[in-house]
Amino acid sequence: MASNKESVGKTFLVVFVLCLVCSIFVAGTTVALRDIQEQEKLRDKQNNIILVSGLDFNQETGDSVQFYKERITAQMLDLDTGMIVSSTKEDPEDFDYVSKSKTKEYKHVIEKENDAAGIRFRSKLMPIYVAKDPSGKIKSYILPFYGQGLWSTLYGLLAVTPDGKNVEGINFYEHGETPGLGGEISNPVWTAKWKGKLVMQDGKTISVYKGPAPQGSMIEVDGLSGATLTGKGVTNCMKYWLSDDAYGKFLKQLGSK
Amino acid sequence: MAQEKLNLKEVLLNPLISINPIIVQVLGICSALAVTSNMKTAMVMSISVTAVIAFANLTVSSIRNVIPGSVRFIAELTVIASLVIVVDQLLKAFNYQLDKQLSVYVGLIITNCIVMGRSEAFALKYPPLPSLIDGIGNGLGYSIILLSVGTVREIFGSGTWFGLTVLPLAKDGGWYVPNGLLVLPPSGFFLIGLFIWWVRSTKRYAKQVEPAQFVVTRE
Repeated sequence: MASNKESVGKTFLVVFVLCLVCSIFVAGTTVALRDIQEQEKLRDKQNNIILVSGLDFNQETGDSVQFYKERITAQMLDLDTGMIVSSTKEDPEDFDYVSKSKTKEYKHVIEKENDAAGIRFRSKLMPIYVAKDPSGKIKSYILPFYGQGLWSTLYGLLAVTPDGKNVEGINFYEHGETPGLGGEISNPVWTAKWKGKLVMQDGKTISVYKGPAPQGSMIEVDGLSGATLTGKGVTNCMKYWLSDDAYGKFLKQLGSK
Repeated sequence: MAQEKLNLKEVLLNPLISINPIIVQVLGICSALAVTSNMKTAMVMSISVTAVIAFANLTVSSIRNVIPGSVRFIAELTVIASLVIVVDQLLKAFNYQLDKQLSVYVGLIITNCIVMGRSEAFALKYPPLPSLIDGIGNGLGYSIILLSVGTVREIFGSGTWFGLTVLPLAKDGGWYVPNGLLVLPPSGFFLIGLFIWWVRSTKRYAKQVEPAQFVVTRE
């Protein structure tokens, strides 16, 4: 039995059959679960947008898919002009601005002295989300952003009031910072401190202070202890994404309306 | 193929403490450090690893008589890798949030020495049923340590347990100032070290006792 089991032909046969069975098994699961996975991913994204929008929504009892459909619309923003583009071949609901930033068509190289967020290039178009309250009045504009933290790239959403002057909410939906230290940037207790602060004041953008922010400051947020460098990353993200090279023009337009 | 009679109960229960894969065999340490800063991830990781070891053992044991010795590692790894991908896909579909938190560690179950070790040391030699039980036992042994370390780290590092507040934190208006070290991986190392010390110095559990390497004599 032993010699038969070890022959070259038998070895190949066994490995081939084993691989075939395993690949059918793996491929079968992947295909069977794909729809559910896509749905979960979409739901997660929509949940984050709803969470940051400042709209009243009960995460436990509400139907986020329905709520999103009713209250939130995605639009495409051209960052160079600060104008919303109405006719584009891309669907703003489904525009992956990170991978698109690498394509020839949408690549915008950020000049070194402007690149506070450390991302080197970004997409020319960015999807933004408009959240409306039940009466149809605009509650907030939600702007996606990303940039370097301490260990990882921080991906977040910043919601601003309709006049583009105040923060409505902020949410980091993906990052790889140390849990309990830098990871606290996704703690709702901390992100709640952003609400009502000014986006910009005297040419300075909103920033994370090291330690408790000075009393009455409208432009600084309390730092997280043990997360000075992650806080710096957040500050840098804000510095770039709120500058004229990114959302700056759009925010100014909102303000002058 | 001569084999001694197996006591199934021992096969299941021994890996829990006395030949625990983490604290006695010191395998699978890296994931035990990485995912134990909170209970949710530790729990999901425990379930995933237990499922993978159990099914890997079952599968490898069922085909142990046809696997050629020269490629047995590759064959075992193929089975394990397939199972891990399936677990990862299931997590992505049914608990996207946690899958995001666990990120690469689910994929890294493939390289978890316990899974490979049990296939190689046990499943290749014994029939499917004892192998399945051995897999479950080792998975549970791994889980016990992960959950114990996770409990200590989450309660004293973040003041919560499964996300529920146990010790109200000073920064949220409570009184407890958390120990920052406990959320960092090195604390897992210290805790596992303490567990190893405890098991080895408890006579009832210490089945694996090597003769002393050096004998101290006094003249």
